[in-house]
Amino acid sequence: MYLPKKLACCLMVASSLVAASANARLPNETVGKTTLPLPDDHRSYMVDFEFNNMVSTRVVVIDPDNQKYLGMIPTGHAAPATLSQDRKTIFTADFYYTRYVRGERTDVLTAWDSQTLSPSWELELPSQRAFTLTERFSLATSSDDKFVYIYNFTPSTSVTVVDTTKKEMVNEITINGCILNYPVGERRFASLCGDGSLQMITLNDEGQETDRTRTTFFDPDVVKLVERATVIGETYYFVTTLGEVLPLDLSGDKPKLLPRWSLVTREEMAEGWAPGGWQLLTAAPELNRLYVLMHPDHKPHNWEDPSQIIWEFDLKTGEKIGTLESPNYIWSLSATSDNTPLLLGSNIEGGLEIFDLSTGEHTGTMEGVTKTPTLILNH
Amino acid sequence: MKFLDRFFERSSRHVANTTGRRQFIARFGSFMAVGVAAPALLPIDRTGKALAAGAPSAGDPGDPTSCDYWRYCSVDGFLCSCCGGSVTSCPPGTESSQVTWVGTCRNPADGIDYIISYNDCCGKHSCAQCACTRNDSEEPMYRPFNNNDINWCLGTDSSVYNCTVAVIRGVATPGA
Repeated sequence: MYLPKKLACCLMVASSLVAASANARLPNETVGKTTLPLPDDHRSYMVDFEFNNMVSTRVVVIDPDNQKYLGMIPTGHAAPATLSQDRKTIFTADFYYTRYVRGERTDVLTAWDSQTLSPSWELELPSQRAFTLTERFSLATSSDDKFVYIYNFTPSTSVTVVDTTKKEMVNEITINGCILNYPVGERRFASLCGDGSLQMITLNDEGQETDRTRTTFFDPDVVKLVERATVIGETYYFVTTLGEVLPLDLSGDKPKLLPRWSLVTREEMAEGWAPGGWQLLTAAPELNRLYVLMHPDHKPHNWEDPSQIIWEFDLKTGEKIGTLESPNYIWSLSATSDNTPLLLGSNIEGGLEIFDLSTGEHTGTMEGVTKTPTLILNH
Repeated sequence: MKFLDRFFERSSRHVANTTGRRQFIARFGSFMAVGVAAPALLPIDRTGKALAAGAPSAGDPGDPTSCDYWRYCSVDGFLCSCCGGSVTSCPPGTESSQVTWVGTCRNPADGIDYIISYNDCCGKHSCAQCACTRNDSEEPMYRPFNNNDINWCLGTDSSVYNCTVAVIRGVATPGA
């Protein structure tokens, strides 16, 4: 009887310890604050236009590798956004009314810290920022982050130049007959003109204009050139609605038109293949590849429609090297700039489609992270 | 994203007449091409004297609350006829844009290509009813007055977009 008695005693002590542990009060807690690390190569930003409101819009910050929602930036009136080259800042060109939809309008350039997602500073500006479906090249930084260029449409067109080191507006440059600001190096930006020319403006360190060139680029009475280009370094790639690619080297003093090539063969064109979408093309610079949303049964009025099919091209040869398919319709594309790049697509349900370009595999969908995504931005 | 869903509902609705559009552009010139102040070439709207709301008729067939309606061939937005206004009138408490974009749409009743101005109604946020996107005669943004990706709430007290009307401004085809 001795051993069973001892065992029973031990069991009683153990069970009381377990009970005490289960009933232990959890410690009090404090509310924490999340700070993000400096953005890695795959950090992604979805610009949410929210068509059903457009007053209170946002940029949603995503980690696509872990399919994680990292946070958001509230923006005013479908603000365009752009990323600084040093990855420390996200710029948005917001405006607000004192009475939500009426009252006094205030326009600001807001500089958001990319780790706290809080404003670092802001600068009040004249009320003339263009309000369009979000264009990637309506807000841009110079390659050294000194200048931010803001596209204005009143409907006269101009570009506001902000010096970020002084946090001052240093110029407003009229670009009559032309639209947008495609940044080129440290002191230039280009604009696309309604007569088919490309205008390039050079600035000095004070933001004053020192040179302006105009180069014939395309015939707008013959082709529709989609203004939503993609860029590698200082070479821009535009595409027509019929699938002709117009590369443009802007690294010199004057634009250099590079040889044109077509996304589609005669046979493919006859079958009905043509590009379409909003930000319908993007480039992965380390792979030197171009990705384009393609329609299998294209009609002219479909040129801004989404698609599930993405064609992959070698930019050195112009050769089509693959096809990617999305489970959902994609309206805009963006690729990361590293050597293990992702291709990201904003789907028409507000989600994010993720492709690993190392394998060509679709790795997942983050559903419903935005309302009406118009653009994806990557570092 | 309802407005995008409409992409898939209207594949057979291509009613624009390209020739008519080109002729319209040629007649009015392109502000982009000549690089002058844009307003001189704009189809200015004063919706205070805009047309009364038009009920469907034999000469103007279709349902103005439907994206299929012939006048909406280049619209991108919410239809004011579903938002408290009509095909030609802004909803209560909103203000019509003073400048706008235009499209050319063929009326199936008479086969004539009409110039349609798509004035935005402004001052309240999105009506969010009857979203409709059709790009039948749309041009890229470097021809802004034929582009519907721009919020045309310009020259108004508030640049907040509510909905869009579709107003006949003339005939695009000479002699028609």
